[in-house]
This record gives sequence, C-alpha cells and structure tokens, in this order.
Amino acid sequence: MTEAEKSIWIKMAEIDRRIIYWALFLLLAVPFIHPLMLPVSISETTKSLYDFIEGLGPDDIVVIGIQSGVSAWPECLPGLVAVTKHLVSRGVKIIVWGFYTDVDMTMNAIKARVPQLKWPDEEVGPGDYKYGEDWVYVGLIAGGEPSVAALADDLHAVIKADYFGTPIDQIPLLSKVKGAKDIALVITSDTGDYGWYYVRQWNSRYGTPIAEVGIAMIYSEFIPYYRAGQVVGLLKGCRGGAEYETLIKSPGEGIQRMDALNVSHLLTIFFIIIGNIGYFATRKYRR
Amino acid sequence: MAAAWRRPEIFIFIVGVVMGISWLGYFFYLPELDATVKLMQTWAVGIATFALVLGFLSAARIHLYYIRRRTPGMWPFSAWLFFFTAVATIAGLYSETTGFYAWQFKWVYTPLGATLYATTGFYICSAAYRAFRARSLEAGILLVAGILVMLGNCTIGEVLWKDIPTINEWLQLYGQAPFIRSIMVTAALGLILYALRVMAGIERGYLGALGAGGGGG
Repeated sequence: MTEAEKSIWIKMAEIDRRIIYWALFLLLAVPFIHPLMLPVSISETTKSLYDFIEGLGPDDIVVIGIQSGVSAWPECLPGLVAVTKHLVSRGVKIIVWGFYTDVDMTMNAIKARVPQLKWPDEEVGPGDYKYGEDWVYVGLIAGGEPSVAALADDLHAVIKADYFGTPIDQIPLLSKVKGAKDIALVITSDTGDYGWYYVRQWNSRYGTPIAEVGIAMIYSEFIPYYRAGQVVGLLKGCRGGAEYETLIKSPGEGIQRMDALNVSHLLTIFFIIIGNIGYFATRKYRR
Repeated sequence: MAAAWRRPEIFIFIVGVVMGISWLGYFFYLPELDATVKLMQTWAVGIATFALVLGFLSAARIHLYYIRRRTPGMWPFSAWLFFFTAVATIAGLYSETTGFYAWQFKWVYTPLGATLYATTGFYICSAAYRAFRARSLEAGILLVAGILVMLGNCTIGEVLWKDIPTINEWLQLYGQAPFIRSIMVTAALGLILYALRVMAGIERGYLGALGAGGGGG
C-alpha cells in the first residue's frame, strides 16, 4: 500500500471533530429547506399507552407529573402535549404538578399547545376545560421521593392550595381526590429518577397505573416495569411523541423534529462506518 | 456534655427507629403506626425542601472561596453567579409571574437550557465516531446493535429496511430486558442489605465525621 493510500485510511480513522460538528450543523438545515415528513410506525409501548387512555372517561382523574426541565422539551414536550390532547378528547379530568423549578414554563408551553385548557380568569367555551372542575395546576412541589410517597397516602397533607393560592377545599376536583387510590393513571415525564418514585410509591403500594413520557435514554430502564405490567405505556423521547401524534391524528412538533433526528442519526452512523473502515484498513500498521 | 450528645449511637438509634417504622408502614397497614408514618413523611418533605437551601449554601461556600482568593479564571464567574442569584431572588420575591422574573425565565433560562441540551448532540456524534470501533467481537456486536437501535429510533430506518422497527422493538423489549432486570434486582438487593446494615448501625458512612470512629466493616 502506498503512503498516499495509507494516509487516506488514516484520515478516515482520525477525522477532526470540527469536521463532524460542521457536517452535522449544515445537514440539520436540510429538513428546514425540504421537510422529509417520513411515515412513523407505532411501537408496542406507545400503542399500549394509547389504548389505556382510550379506556378512560370523564369519571377518571389522571395526574400529569412534570419532572423534566425546559432543556428536555425537544424530547418530552411533544409526547406530553399529545397525551394531554388525548386526555382532553376523552374528557378525563387532569391534575398537573411538578418537582422541577421550571415546571411553570412547561405547563405554560403545554397550555399554549392545548388551547382547551383554560385558566381561572379565561372564558370557557364548548369543549373547553374549566379550571378547578376539569383540570387543576398545583405547581411546584418540593421534596423528592418523600413527597411522592406522601402524595400517594394523603394528597391533602402535601397540597394545601393550587398554583393560584386557592385553598384545596375550594377546588372541586382536588377535594374529590384523597390519594393514589382515586387516580386512574399517573403520567410522569422525567429525565431522572421520579418515574421510579411513582412506581415504588404509587404503583407498588396502591396499584395505580404509571405511564412514562420521558427521554429516550431512560426508556430501556422502564421496559422491565412495562413487561411486569406496572407501567402501562412508554413514550421513547421525541420518537414516542411523534408516534403518539400519529395515533391521535394531530401532527405536531414531534413529527417535525423526526426530520432532525433522521439527519443526525444517519450522519452519526455514516461517520461510525467510515471510522471503522479506516480502523480496519490501518490496523495492521498499528501492530 | 458536648461529647455525650454527639455520640454516634444516638443518631444511629434515631435512624434505625425511623427506618424501621417507615419499613413497617410501607409493607404493612398498621393503624397504630399510620399517624406516625404520615408525620414522618411530612417531616421528610420539609427536610428535603431545606436541602434546596443547603445545596445553595454549599455552592455559595465554594464560590465565596474563589472570590476571596481571586482564583484566576474562576472568580469573575463566581461573582456573576452571586450577582444574578441576588437579582433573580429579588425579582422573584417582588413577583414570580410577571416582570423581570418571568422575563428572565422565558428569554434567558429557557433558550440557554435548550442550547446546552442541544450541544450534547454534537458531542455525542463525535464521541460515537471515536468510541464505536469494532476492536473485538464483543465491540462488534455492540456496534451492530447500536446501529440497529439508532436506525430504529429514527423513521428513516424503516425506509431503508422495513424490518428495522421489528428488530429494534425486539432488542428493546426482549433482547436487553433480562439484563436490565438482572442489574436492577442485583442493585435492589444490594440496597436492601445496605439499609439493613444502616439500621443495625454497622454502616456509619452517612454520619460523616461523627461516625468516622467506628463501623463500616
């Protein structure tokens, strides 16, 4: 092998990271110019969550726990919005709370995308969700797993008022709920440990079904709980959000973001293959 | 007198009793203990909330050190941290839904958080290029599985090969689940044993300097 040929293989095995960064940056612009909008197949765990919510109705109360920050919006927000839209279409009552300090931002983002959710001072039209009766926003709850456990035992011991300071006994929806036994489903969106807290404290002790709408990284770790029936459905990050949007026939940011995911994944696989070709071609010269 | 109340046995006893009552309350419904368990949970919520303050004080101690010592390359950022903490705290005390507090959350915190998260994509692409080399048979299997999962996570995978979603789903639901399960069960058993050792006073690492004199064997 000539020196020139050797250097090509070495270059393939040792591409400067700046080239990778620029290639990714430039290729991510392609979907903006020409959206790919490829069809999304539905995974079992997403369909399972969809089917479970299809079985709920106006007599059921669901908790949405927001434990993912604004930095996780690209992965978690599409799924959260799609699931909320589905719950609203089924007339299910919703209680929203969160354990992250930026939960208000995520709540506002969901509300901007699900216009049926109305604040107390907003006019309620047909099909809208009236605050206090159809849905409630509690706001930030501090305290980690002890708080999750306390909420399961006695909601009223932890929550004294909603986000607006209205005492809990003046909120019809919250006054109906004593603890985990009154909740039909907990949908937890998290990037860390809170999903496990709900499995341990809500499902293991009270049998409350749990659903995880989190980042793709923790999807695999919840599969054993899904297989055991403790978790009724999982959305895998942005892809899960896109799948759920397809199921509820309401395309949104999840499907839009799949284009960026396609480009970045393909480019990563391309560089991995190039790197391995270069590695194998130069392996004998490293020995 | 000071030495008597700082004896580690006192704290070990308190921890043991609290853990024992919590354990009983978790696994059994005992009406006699129910009120005590609920009270302890309420206290735990309050103590966990104080952890937020403790976290800030720990960070403040470190950054004050940098400022006092004028550590090159560090102290301006530490000073900026204190300045912005004060500004955000005053703004939040004044109004948490309007004004500067809401503005800085919407126009500073949110874009910065999203940007930070987005930049990890670039690092991961570069790191995957460098790390995913089939140096051995096991590394090669990991490489192939990783590529299949990546193709399964994006919609273009099924355009390239229609069976990619099926393979990806099998790998996630059945291929890796037994191993994740075994790791989780093993870790859980380890945690149970650790908790029993803490309750029995054998494990004293959580006491810090107070428990440095004994145990942990």
